[in-house]
Amino acid sequence: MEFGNADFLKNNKRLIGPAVLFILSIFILLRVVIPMISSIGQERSKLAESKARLEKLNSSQNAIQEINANNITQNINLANKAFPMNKEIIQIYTTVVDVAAQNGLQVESFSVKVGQVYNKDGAVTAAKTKEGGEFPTLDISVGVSASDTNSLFEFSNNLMKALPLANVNRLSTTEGNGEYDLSFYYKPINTSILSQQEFVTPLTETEKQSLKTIEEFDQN
Amino acid sequence: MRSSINLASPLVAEHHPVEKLLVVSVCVFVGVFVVAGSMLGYLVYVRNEVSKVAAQETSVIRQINQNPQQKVDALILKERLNDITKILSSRGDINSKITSVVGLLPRSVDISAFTIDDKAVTVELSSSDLSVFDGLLESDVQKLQSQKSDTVSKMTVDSFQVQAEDPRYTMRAVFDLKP
Repeated sequence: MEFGNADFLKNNKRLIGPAVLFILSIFILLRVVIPMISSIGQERSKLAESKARLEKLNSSQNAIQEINANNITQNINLANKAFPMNKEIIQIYTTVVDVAAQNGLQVESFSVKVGQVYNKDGAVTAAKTKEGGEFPTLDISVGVSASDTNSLFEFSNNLMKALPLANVNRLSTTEGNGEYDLSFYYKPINTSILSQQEFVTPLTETEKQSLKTIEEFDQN
Repeated sequence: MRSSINLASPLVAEHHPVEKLLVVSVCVFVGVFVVAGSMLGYLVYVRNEVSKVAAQETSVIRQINQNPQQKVDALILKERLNDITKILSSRGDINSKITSVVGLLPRSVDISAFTIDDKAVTVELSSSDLSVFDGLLESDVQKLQSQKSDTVSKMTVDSFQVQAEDPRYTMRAVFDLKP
């Protein structure tokens, strides 16, 4: 049998070269080319992700510079005045009295539904937000007296254009007296969560418009 | 000349099948080798690009973190304005509802009581002239139908009173508001 194999090799030794080349080709194909296809795919997706991330980071950097270039401290103070971080009762009372005085009204009563003052989790609970509302509110009842009904209507109109932002939920007038149920919005801010955010997007046109609106409200 | 003594070789040389096999195997090997080499080169290029982008990322992150307060301030303002936008768009426009309902009422009538919430407006109207109420019910309320009011969905007269001694008429009406 050994004699037979040697004889076979002797007779077919010219086939060894092509056979070795074929085997090498198949080896390269299986061990190098095919695994490399998946590696290239992975690397390409990694590159695409990295490029997208870099683009977001560049955009964040530009946004930070742009936002900081325009009186950021003043704008933050204004935004916090419009939408305070806490139940700013004194600020609310001052606003109500000022707006009433502008409309020639006398504030007769001012009552506050304080509600939940402290929550360990710092989270907004369903009890604090109005039904269907996204933000917690401080609900206030205001009673005023006026010489005419129009100034009572005007008062609610002007309250909606004052800071902090409020919503007139109910208005009731009877013979020169007005009762208003108001909701003033507030929301605590968690700077530690914010600082963990990686990306900053530029202000949208709507947000810039909102900034203008509250600037106008503040000047009234 | 006899063909058996023609020593010139034929024009087309006949290849042995083994030689053909060798040529094919060399071609396949070279082809596979070139493909593998190209792919390896491309893989190295892509990895190099990933490293470059990662270095750029690190540089940008370092620049951003040079002044972390600026980033936090930008995020605070951004979030605050986003919330304010939501509040401004979600607030009920009570004043336009008041204007719509008051606009339906005759000018000569006194509004002795007025209550509005997000569902309805209740008004108490008084006048010494009965025809004012007639006009209100006959023509002014018809405006609701003809103008297809986008504020009021229904009007209900709750009560109608008259003080006999000093003829004064009082009507209480409820205007249901559209959601």
